[in-house]
Amino acid sequence: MTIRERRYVPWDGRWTRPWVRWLVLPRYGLRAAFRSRLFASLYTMGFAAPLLGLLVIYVDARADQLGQIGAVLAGFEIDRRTFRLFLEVQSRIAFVVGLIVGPAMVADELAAGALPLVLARPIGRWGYIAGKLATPALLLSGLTWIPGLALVLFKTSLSGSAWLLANLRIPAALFAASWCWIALICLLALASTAVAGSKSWGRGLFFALFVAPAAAGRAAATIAGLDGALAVDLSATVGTLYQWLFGDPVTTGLSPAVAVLAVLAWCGAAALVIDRRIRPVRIVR
Amino acid sequence: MESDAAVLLDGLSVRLGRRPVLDGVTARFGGRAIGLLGPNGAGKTTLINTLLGFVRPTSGSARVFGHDVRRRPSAVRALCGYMPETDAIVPGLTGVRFVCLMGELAGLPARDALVRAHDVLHFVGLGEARYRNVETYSTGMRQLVKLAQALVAGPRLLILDEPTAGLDPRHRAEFLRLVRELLEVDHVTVLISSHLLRDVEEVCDQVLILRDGRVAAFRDVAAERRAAAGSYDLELRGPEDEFVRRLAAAGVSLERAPRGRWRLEEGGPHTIPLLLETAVACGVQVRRLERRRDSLEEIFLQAMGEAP
Repeated sequence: MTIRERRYVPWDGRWTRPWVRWLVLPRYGLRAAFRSRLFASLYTMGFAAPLLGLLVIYVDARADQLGQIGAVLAGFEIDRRTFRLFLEVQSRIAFVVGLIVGPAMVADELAAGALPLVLARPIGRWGYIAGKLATPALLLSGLTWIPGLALVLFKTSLSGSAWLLANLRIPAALFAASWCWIALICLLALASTAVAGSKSWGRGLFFALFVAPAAAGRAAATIAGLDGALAVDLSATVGTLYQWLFGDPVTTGLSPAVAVLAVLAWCGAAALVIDRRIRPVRIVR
Repeated sequence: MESDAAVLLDGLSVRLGRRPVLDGVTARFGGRAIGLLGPNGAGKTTLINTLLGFVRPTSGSARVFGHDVRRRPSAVRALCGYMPETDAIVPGLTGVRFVCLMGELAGLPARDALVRAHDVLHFVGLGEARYRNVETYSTGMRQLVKLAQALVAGPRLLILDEPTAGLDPRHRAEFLRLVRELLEVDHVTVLISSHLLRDVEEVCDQVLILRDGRVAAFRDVAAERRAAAGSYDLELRGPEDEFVRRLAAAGVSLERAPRGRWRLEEGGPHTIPLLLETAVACGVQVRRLERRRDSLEEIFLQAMGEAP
């Protein structure tokens, strides 16, 4: 047993480098997230599609050696549409994960008034925000572009580098499209909580941001014929980006340029809200 | 750039929106324990927020151990441990994890932060409760765990904002004992903002009193205590003028003091018997004769312009 002297001793040991201190926050954030068994189970279920993808790619590559199964899969082709479908499935799971984890990152600290305490440390306000965004970003990366690129590598290992060279657009699209979605979810989740001030209200607001504008945008597009109104529909916007990035025909009724601008506008607005709200002191003017 | 003064304020002005909150505050905190006093809205918390870089000065400057708070806020924060007035605990963490997190954010390596967290929690007396979640702590324990997190990275300047607010007398005494113990360590300077004059009086050697964002008084109370060591305060009844005249003729001078009292500076061993003999001779009652101790309350009331 350690015997401790009840005496204060100043610290004269070594220090970590200032630019890595914010990384402490995602470490604690991930630990807190996986403390919930429900969340851990849900997150584990998010790997079902990547595992299925591995199986499909393997079976497809070995179709000639697999008898009847191979014959069934003979007409099936692993191409960019397959990877887009994979990313769309994973994006929906990522949304649920973001809904659970995103608002939980800062809600407790906001509600407890602990921001002055944390921001009095030498990490800086944007270091703190980056640390808080990093937790959902890491979790969502683990569901989207990381398994996506792993599938691309697996396919390459089975089909040869010629397949990769012919389909270089797939890993690039997987990476870019995933990060569009991750950035949107992380920033909107943090901004929603910063506005709402609590976990439950933050989740409600975050969910509403994906539903209410979508309904309004679709209504405006259908009733008034304003296709541009779909830009406020985040699913349509991101769907457009996915189709465009993977080189598929865009069927959402929204131009890729408008979709890019819409995503940038949403992210910019969320960053602005975060900047306004995540402060050590609220100044009453 | 280090300086021997913990805090240097030079014409510091801060506006929040259009409202001036601090107006040309100049002071040099060279003591080991500085009390920050003032009524609500005087600018105490804004001064602390400015030192921590939360609020930018409009003009003038503030330096902490030589580091300008505007230009080098991170360097300043690295030297400070801050215990805010609000509850400010991060729920869902045990006491030791909470303090460890704060240590790591301050720049301690993870393993060292954990060891330090255990050490400072033992120091503040929360050793037994360190594995309990912080949201289950009582008010007194919350104040102590906030002190622990402020200490974990070994700050040069410990900023305590209303540290004993809500504490019962036993916990308050215990808290002040810890602060006094900290002051025995050469490394630490303590800045206490408090409404409780007794807390500041018990611990501090310098006092900055703010009023409407300006310096109402900046006193070295430790030096004043030393200077006043041989002085007495008297309360008399009867023909006071005659008594004072006779004493003056005997070479002992009394001066008027607040609250209708008289003050005897530098009372020697023969002065008191002489004073009592003169009082008997003049028919003056000496209702009170005590060593002078300018209470902080008097200093505060004088600074507020409300001295009796």
